[in-house]
Amino acid sequence: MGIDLTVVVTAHDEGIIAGPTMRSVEAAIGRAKHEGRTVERLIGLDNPTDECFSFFSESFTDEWAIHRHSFKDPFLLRNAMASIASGRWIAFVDADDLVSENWFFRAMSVLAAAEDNGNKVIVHPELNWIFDESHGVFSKPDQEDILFNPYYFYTANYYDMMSVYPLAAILDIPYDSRDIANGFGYQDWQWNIQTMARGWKHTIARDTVIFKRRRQGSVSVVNNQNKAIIRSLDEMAIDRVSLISSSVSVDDNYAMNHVNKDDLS
Amino acid sequence: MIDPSDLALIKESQLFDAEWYLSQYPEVTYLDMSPEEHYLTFGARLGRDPSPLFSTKMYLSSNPDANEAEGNALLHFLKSRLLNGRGRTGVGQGIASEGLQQERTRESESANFNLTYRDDVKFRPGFRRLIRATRQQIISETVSGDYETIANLIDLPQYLLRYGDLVRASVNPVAHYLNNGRREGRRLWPGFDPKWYLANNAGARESGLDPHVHYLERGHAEGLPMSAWTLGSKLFGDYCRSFGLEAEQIDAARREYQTSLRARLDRGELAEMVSKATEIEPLIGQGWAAAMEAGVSPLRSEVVLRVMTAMRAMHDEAQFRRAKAVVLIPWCHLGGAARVAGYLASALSEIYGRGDDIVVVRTETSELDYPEWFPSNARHVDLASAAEGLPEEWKLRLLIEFVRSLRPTAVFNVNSRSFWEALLIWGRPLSKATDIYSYMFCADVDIYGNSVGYPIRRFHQTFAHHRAILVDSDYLKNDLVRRFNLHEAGQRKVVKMATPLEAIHSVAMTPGNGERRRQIFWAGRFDRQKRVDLVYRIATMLPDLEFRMWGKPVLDRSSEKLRVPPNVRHEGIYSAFSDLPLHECDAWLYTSEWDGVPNILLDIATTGVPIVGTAVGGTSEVLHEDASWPIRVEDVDGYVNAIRSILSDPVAARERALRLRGRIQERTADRYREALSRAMEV
Repeated sequence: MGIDLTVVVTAHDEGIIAGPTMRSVEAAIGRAKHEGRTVERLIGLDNPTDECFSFFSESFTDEWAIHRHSFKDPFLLRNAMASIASGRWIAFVDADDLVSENWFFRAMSVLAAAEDNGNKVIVHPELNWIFDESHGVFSKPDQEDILFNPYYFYTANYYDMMSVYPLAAILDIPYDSRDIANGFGYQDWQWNIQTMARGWKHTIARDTVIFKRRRQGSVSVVNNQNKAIIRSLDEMAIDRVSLISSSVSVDDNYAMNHVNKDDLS
Repeated sequence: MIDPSDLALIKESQLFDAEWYLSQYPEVTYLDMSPEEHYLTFGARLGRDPSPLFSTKMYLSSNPDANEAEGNALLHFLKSRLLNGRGRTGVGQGIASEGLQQERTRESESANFNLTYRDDVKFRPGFRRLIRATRQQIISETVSGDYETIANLIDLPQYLLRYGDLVRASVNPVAHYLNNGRREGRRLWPGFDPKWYLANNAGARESGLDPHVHYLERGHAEGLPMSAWTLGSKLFGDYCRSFGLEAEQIDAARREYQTSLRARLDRGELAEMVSKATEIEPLIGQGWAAAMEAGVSPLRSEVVLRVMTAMRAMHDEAQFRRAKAVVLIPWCHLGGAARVAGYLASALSEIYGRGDDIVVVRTETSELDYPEWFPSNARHVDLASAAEGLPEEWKLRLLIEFVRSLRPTAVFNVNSRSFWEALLIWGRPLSKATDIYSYMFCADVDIYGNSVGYPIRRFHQTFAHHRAILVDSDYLKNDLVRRFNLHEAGQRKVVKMATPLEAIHSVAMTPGNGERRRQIFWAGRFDRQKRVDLVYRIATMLPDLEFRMWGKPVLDRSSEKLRVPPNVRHEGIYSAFSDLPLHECDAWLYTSEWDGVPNILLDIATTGVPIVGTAVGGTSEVLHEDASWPIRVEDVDGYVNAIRSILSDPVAARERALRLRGRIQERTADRYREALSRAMEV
């Protein structure tokens, strides 16, 4: 029997703060297994600090396959980890964040139901719960929810990279590299737009939460400080943005519109 | 028959849990009615509970009148609270004091207080003790004025979670609210922002009532908005209209989601998940106050709602089509920069072959006084209006995202302050998506005599992000090249664009030699830069001549303090250059402390009228020695002698001026377009 889910914990400079993360992830894996799911455990270390490497070398990671890289780029690390994953679905967890115990199990239920209906979906937790240096709780909408509006992507990311999805999604559409030097950040934001535009439906698993730790030096804090923006995307062009969440992929829709215009002229 | 107001009351109440109701009475799923309708029609009569938070049996046993009056315990409870003003938080967004019979305390009832709360998962033992102690503190205070009302409105657990400063200071939150908290805009329950409510509802302001009380007693019934993103708010209406959304439907969906979320955060799987995570990481538990405000974006942030609405409005103005070039101007009224932007847009239109490939964005104010300066089918976008009310950084962000959404090949900045500011933040990433060009005109001089303005302040900060900097004079180019020691590559990036003539005016008639007073004309801004004082000094030294001046103060009023010589006549503003009575003009006087290549000089140069003008900055590129009378700024005698010389031999003076007229005609639109094409190939 194949593996249902590959859980990838990614780390760079996290030391003991990864402790609560790993406890929550183990609890969520335990719940998924209890529900009959099979899970592969991977840890991806990207240019780890001594503290980080030392922490993940402890015995609690015996059941985890640890892979060390030197991308200095959390997104390229994810691509690399996906390339060695064996699961039908993949879940990424940042080593400073926590997941709700039901996260993997609920997300897989949504994925399985969607696939039964022939849908390609990417599942996000219902809530992002920001804690530690700052607080905030944000709900994420299903892209077919009446409250969803693609223009929001001009201002912020509805989702982030803590999602669960078929391995094919990231293999087909890998994350772009980080480019802070040129003012670009938020590759997860970019990836969410691009996958949506290419027909991947973004949905949520109700009653699930990612607890995101805000601390000095974390990726989102650095992006904020640098006032980074996402790369300029054709999907966000004035004549395409409204189409990104439609059931037809943006490329097809755009092509259709332009073919029609040409025909008329 | 169900009364719609009863239905609304039930739907809005936290004490009716549709999900729970369905789970307890699954047969309702198969009926063609909502859980709320079922409860109103059958459920209450059957003695069913509307949620785990409300015991019908217990309520009816302690409120026998409920049976007679309503036959519906929850409805009775909700209505009686509305009528006698106790625990009215339920009508708003409050949750905690919306009554739990299990928790209701005898002492609170006897003291006429309704400080009840639900004992849900987020209340850890210490917090429960804190609530109990605070409640006792509130009850034991002397009741006067609004004290009882506020005590009954406050969502105590939420209030304590949100305002840790009160907890740490151990103050009575109700007394504090009355003394300070109300003035500080503190929120008695989540989702209601009293500051916003007062600022946006004149009736509430004028009533003198506490904003929370006003909302519950009047605002709710009148449909007043509670926040920028609720039904009734202008912004929310604009947002829904611009996106073609049904406002009522969106508002209902938002309320339904928030109600559901808050209920699930109190009890059930979601609450349990947060509780378990808090066991692992206690810091998570500090987020409960924030969780009470959670919702789906953008209907939780006024700024984001404004940005999205503005973006949509701008997309509408841009006709939902891409652009090859974007021209950014501060405004479009009488002024050199907007005129130059018009030449630029026209040249771009010819380069691309289509005027509607150009989008012109006004970034600082809305005026579009001279659309005829631009290609007739250029698309005009008013960012200044769309961004009204936005914080500065969001306005800049909106500008950048709008420009990027047009997917242009090139962006041209002609004195847009916002774009200069945005370049400082996002110049680098924007330059990866499109070519950036900015115009620079002459630097200004401040009252201390220091050079200021974009060439001084922004050139070095943004040079790397530009494909080219466009300047209107060799003088400015040379100044920049010298200042920054630019060599070949750098020099190529600074491109002089000779502003084309708007028109080649016909040669003005020479005034006759009869018995008349000779006239000297002057026109411009009555500002410090243009040295009105020099004109007056020159006029004083030439009392036999008449000086006619057109213009007004624009940037400063320094000229108003000056004594006007008797031979100076102020003529006001002219509407068109051709309206000037040039056939009465013996010589044109131009004065300036610093300058580029002013349009007025180009206009006069084509008329054959002799010009005596200050040789400073870019004016020297028009005022050639052999074709005019260029004078150093402060050389009053020089101006006087030049005017005398012109008047003593008007025929020779005209010949000299006509030389300038011939030379100036090299400034054509074709040459301007060619220069622009070359700049875009740099």
